[in-house]
Amino acid sequence: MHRFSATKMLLEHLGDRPVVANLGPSTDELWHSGDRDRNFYTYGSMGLCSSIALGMALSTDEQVISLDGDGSLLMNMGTIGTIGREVPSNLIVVVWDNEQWAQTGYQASHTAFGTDLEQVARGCGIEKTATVRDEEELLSVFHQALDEEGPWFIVAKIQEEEYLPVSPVEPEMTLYRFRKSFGD
Amino acid sequence: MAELHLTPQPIIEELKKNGVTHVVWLPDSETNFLYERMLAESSIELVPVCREAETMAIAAGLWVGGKKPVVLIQNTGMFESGDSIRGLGLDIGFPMVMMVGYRGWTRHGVTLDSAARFTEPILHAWGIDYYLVETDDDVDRISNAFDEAEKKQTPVACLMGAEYG
Ligand SMILES: Cc1ncc(C[n+]2csc(CCOP(=O)(O)OP(=O)(O)O)c2C)c(N)n1
Ligand SMILES: [Mg+2]
Repeated sequence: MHRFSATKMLLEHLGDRPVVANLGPSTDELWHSGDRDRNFYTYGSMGLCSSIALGMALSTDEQVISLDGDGSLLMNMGTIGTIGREVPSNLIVVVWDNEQWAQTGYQASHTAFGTDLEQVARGCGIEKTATVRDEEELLSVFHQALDEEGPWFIVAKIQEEEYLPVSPVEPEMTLYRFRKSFGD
Repeated sequence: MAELHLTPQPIIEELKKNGVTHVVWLPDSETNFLYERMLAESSIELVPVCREAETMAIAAGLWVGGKKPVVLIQNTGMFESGDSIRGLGLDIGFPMVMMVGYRGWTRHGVTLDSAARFTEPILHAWGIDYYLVETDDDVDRISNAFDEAEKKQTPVACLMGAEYG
């Protein structure tokens, strides 16, 4: 499974729901999949993508989707504990797990050596979890996540491919647009 | 502007010359060029971590046990490590050399990336001296950093200011 194709697939199914993306290729590929008011692109704050999404989930009744990365979640595994503690029923975390810090040169991350982020989530009390390896499985679990209360934690094992160009986004404008999309 | 070249082997040689046993590391684009060489270097062990604040703690433990670690992270990671640098670098008088990828460093005065803009002011605030390493001609500054750290028994940084050319 490749992240770009899988991102496009998820976008087709998630309607108008807000999405927060991890720094690097997850953000760039989200932009290339279709720029929308409700995409929140990050360019830093490594490890905090799902934390941002958690804050959003706690502030709205809408379902919020986090497209996180293995390296970033490893940096802040504590966020999984916080999600397990807060139990936001409207949060769906999808982890693009390429078993690498891809953005910085494809170095193997801890998930290539046995760290199982789904098990970490289960250990933090998150019950709705899955690990998927192809688009069909991902879509099936994603639909279930949209239909059933969460929090959901879905590890999507992917293979890395060539990067797309960095998305030409102005952070201030994107943030303004994103906040506005939640209404006043 | 003349092209700047920083290549891995002189850096590795400098680390070996200073008796480095471990590189405690989280990847960044600025220092990625060192990665393959470090893996191949049998006299130096690479310890990859999950977040940069771990690097100082692991390095401090290695130092207590008689090893000679260096920390290799990005400036963003140095911000992430604030309390570790305070508690496990400065407070315990750990002569730790931190090699820090200088993300955003442009050399021409207009520095848009806040990661670069805050790097030196924060080192100043901590009272941590630093050496800028941008080309192969600069790598002996890494030895200056080791000497200074030893002499003053305190952390010293090397700002790695070039991507591999
Ligand atoms: C605090 C901090 N440390 C290091 C970096 C450098 N960095 C940028 S992206 C990245 C890798 C992220 O890995 P992952 O979340 O798995 O995403 P992938 O690149 O694999 O899509 C790293 C280490 C950073 N931006 N911030
Ligand atoms: Mg990754």
